[in-house]
Amino acid sequence: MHPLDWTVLLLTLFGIVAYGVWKTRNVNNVQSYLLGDRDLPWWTIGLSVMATQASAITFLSTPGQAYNDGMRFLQFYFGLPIAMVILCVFALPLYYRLNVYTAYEFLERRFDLRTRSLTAILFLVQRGLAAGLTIYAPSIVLSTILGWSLNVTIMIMGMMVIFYTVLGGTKAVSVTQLHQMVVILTGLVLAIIVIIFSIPTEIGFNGALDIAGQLGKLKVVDTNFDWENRYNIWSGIFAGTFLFLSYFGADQSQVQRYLSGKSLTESRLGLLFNGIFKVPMQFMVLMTGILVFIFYQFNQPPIHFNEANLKELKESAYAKDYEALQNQYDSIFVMKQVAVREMLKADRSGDTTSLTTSREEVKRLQASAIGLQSEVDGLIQKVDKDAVLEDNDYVFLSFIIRYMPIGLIGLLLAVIFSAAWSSTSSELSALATTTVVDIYRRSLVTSKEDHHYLNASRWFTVAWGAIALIFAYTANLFDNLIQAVNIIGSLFYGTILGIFCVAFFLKKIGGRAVFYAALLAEAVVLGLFYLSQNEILHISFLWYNLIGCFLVMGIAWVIEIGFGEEEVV
Amino acid sequence: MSEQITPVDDDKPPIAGSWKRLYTFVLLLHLVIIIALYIFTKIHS
Repeated sequence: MHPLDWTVLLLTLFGIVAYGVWKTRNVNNVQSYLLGDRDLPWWTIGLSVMATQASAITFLSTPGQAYNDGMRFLQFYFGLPIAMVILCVFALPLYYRLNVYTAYEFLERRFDLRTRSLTAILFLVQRGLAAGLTIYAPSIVLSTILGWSLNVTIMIMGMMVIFYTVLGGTKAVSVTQLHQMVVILTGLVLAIIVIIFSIPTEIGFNGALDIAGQLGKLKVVDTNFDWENRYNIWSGIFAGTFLFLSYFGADQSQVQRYLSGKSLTESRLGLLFNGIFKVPMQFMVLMTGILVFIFYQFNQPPIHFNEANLKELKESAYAKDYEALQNQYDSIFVMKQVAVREMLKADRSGDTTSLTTSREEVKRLQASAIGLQSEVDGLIQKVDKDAVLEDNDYVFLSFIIRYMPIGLIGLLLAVIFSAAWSSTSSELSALATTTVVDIYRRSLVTSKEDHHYLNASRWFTVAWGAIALIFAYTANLFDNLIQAVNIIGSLFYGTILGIFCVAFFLKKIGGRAVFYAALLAEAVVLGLFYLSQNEILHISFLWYNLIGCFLVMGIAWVIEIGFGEEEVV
Repeated sequence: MSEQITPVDDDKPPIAGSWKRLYTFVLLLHLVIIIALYIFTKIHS
C-alpha cells in the first residue's frame, strides 16, 4: 500500500479513537459509563444507531451481493421504518418512564426476575457470538486481500475497539460512532463518484443503468410471495418489521444507543432519522456493487475474487488446467464486451429485435463465464477441500485495491475499520451493561457502591472483548460460520420479541405464562429449524422472527386462560 | 438499581406540529420510496 494510503488510514482511525478517549476522560460513575449521562442530541443518536447496525461486513458483502444477485436485498430493510414508528409510540415512552438501563430491566417490572434473566441470557448468548464474528469476518477478508497476517489483523481490529470502549463506556461508543459514520458516508460517496467516472464516457451513468437493467440486476421490488424466497416485498415488510422490532426494541446494543438521548424527544427523533435514511443508505451501498458490475463489463474481472485461493491454485498441480480456463474466460470477456455494446446500442435506438438478440447473447456469454468460474472453484477445492469458494465478500475490496486512486484506498480501508469498530464497540458495551445490570448487580453482588459497579462494568467489557477475540481467533475452525451466526440471531430474536410484545400489548398476561411460553416457543422454532435443515420443511430463516413472536404471544395467552397466574407470595 | 418512575417530557416534535403527524410523514415517505423503487424496477426490467 502507498505511504499516502497508510497516512490517511492511520490518521483517520487514530484521530477518531484519540478524540473519543479525550472526550470521555471524565467518565467516573456507572450512570455515565452505561448511559453516557443521557445528553446526546438526536442526530448523534440517529448516526449511532445506523453505525451500530452497519458492520464492516455490510460494506464488504453488500456490494458483492449486488454484483452477483442484483438489488433485491434492499427489500430486507422495508420493515425498518415501520418498526421505528412502532417503537417510538410504544417502547420508548415506557423505557424513559421507568428510567431503565437495559431493555430487560423493564421485563422484571412487568413480569418477574426469571423472565428478565432468561431474556438477558438469550441476548448474551446470541450477541456474544456475533461480537466475535464482527471482528473475524472483516479480518479474514482484509488479511487475504492485503496480504496481512490474519492474527495481526484480528488483533488490530479487536484491541483498539476494546481499548476505547473499556475507557469510555457507552459514551465513547457514541462519540466515536458519530465520526466513524461521517467517514463511512464520505468514503462511500467518493467511491461511487470515482466508479461512475471510471465507466467508459460513451456509456455514462444512464447507459450503466440500462445495461444493469437489461441483465436483471435492478429488480429491487419483487411482489411475488414465496415462503422460501428470502427477499420479496412481503417478507421484507412483514417478517422484516418483526425482525427490526426485535433488533431495535429488545437488543441492548441498540436500546443502549437511544437510551443515551438527552430526552424522549431526542431519542424518538434519532430513531425516526434512522427510519428515513436507512433504506436510501442501503440503496447507495447496493448501487456501488451494481456500478462495480458495470465497470467489469468493460474491464476484465478476475475469474475468482479471492486472490489467496487463486495463488494457491496457480502454484498447484492444477496450474495448467487453471490457465486453460483463464484463457477461455478472457476470450468470453472480449466477446461479451462487444455484445454489451451492441445491446446498449439497440436499447438506445429502440430496435427491440436487435435488443432481444444481443441481450440473449450477453446472457449466454455470462452463463458461460459463470460456468468457467464454477470449474475454477472445483479446481480450488481439489487443491484445498476446506477452501471457502464464496467470493462475494472480496468483490468490492478487490476492486478498491486494484482501481481506486491513491489516498482513497486508505480512506476506504478506514471505512471498513470504522464500520467494524462502530458495531463491535456497541456490542461490547451492551454485553457488559446487560451482564452488570441484569445479572451481576441484580442477582449476584447486589449491594456494593457505585465505584464497584463501574469497575465491574470495565472488567466485564474486557472479558467480553476477550471472548470475542478468542471466538474470532478460533472461528476458522467452524464451517459456514457467517451463515450459522446469522441464523442463530433469527432463532432467538422471535422469542425475545414475543416476550416484549406480551409485555406491551397483552396486559393481563403474567410472568409465569410468558416464561413457559418463551421456553415452548423457542423449542418449536428450534424444531422448525431442524426440519428445514433436514429439508423436510422449507421456511426462510427471516420468518422465524415472526413465528417465534406469535408463538410466545399465543402460548402465553393459552396458559394464562387455562391455568391462570400463580399467586404472588 | 433505580426503582423510581421518572416523569418524561412529551414535548411536541420540532417539526410537523405533533408526533402523530411526524409518524404519518415518515410512513408516507417510506411508501413513496417503495413506490419509486417499484417504478424503478419496472423501468429497468
